[in-house]
Amino acid sequence: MFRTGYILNRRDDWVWFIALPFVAVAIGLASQRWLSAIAVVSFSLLLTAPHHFASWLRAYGVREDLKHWRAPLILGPVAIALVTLVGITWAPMSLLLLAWTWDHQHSIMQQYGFARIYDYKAQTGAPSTARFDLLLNWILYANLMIVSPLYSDFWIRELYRFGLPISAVSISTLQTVSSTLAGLFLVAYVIHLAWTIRHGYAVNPTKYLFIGASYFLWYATAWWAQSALVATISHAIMHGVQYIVIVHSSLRRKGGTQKSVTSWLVQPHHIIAFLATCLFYSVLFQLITNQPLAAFGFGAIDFATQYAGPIPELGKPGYTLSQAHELFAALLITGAPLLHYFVDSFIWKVRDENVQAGL
Amino acid sequence: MHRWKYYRILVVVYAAAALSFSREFTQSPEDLVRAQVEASQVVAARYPELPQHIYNRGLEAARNEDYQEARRLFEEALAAHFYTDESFLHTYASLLIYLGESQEEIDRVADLWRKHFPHSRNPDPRFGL
Repeated sequence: MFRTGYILNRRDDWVWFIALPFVAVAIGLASQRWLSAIAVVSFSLLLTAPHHFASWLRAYGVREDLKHWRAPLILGPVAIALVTLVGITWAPMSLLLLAWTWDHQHSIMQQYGFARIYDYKAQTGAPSTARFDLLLNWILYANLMIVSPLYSDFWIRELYRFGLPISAVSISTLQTVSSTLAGLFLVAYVIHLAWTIRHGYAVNPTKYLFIGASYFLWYATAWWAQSALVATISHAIMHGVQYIVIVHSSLRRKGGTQKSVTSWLVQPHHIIAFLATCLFYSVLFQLITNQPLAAFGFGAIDFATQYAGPIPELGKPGYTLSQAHELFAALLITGAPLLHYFVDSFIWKVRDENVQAGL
Repeated sequence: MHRWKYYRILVVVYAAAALSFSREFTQSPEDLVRAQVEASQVVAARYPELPQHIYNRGLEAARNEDYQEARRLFEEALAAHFYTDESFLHTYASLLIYLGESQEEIDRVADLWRKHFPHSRNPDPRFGL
């Protein structure tokens, strides 16, 4: 009846796929309570951008895959660049809507994909299970969008923009219908599960724990959140970390015998190098887009507030960002040579045996 | 997998983009603003308890020169940890200055503004607007 299978292994699945969403919610709530709003950007830089890098590595970093998907991997960026350019130039709000919608579809499909891997690894489920899992993900997620206060704001505004006004009463009715349909589908899903077992197909309990944990995160943050902050941070943690984990695992298993930068990078004992490369990508991205590196610091490191506290009585406005940057630059320009003088005062002493060994 | 299936999602994206982009391109700014105002009203009617809408009601009160009511509503939004809207924290700090509140009260809100929006180009309200 039950056959347990894991994406990675028992311990890692519990950490990255089942416990992580709960930890992510806790981090999101703690961030709202104690960190600056800039923490959203920090999490994005530390997780979302690296998970994009992991995606490039997965798609473009394996020679045989690059050959296998050559056409879409070349035409795709051109097509995306074109639609983005047109959107930025003539229809920025629509481009935002497009990115928002695709982001959510992408999130649904990632969790659905992991559910499929669970069934594949454990050889579980009936032939109809994939379709039911896909429907489950779409219905639960669509219901979340329609019903939750956090997300409904967005689609209500879009309806108005498209000339489709909807009253508060109609919204409420639509939300009740959506919740009812989602509830009915959950009943149908459980009946299908019972049917699956009765017809002799095994089911993988870990998959259901994973789906439950994922939707716990999405639903809980959509209602607890006073703003998008908790939901955005929690989602970034779950989505980004799980993606990086699966890419690392997949590339490691796939490219173990290959001699390439990618296969070297994903070796278990090169994990620091892998993470450092992900981080380097983020830093590079931030520099190219001319954004402040202080955004990596969760608001704790910030030039403008480091010396905060304007003193109106003295006519002192406090440091502006550019003044604080100048101060920081002066610190580096003066401090780096001073550090050089300091270390040189002992790393070249010939009487030191450590130094002699290198001479 | 058939080759065309790789591009299926791009076809959907392009179709959605064509529909949405053309709508936005042909919509006048006045229509867009009107749509946003109407949408805001209906969202606020559906979710009056959300901090964003409490803040909006506070702004309305301030526009009607009912500053004490505005302050009460702003404080209610602040109690809900509504830190993600810069204009809220900046406006609240400015209102406290206008009302001649104690420096401690002003600093409490203005420091929150500086903490959450360290890269803001807005002037510090304590130094004059």
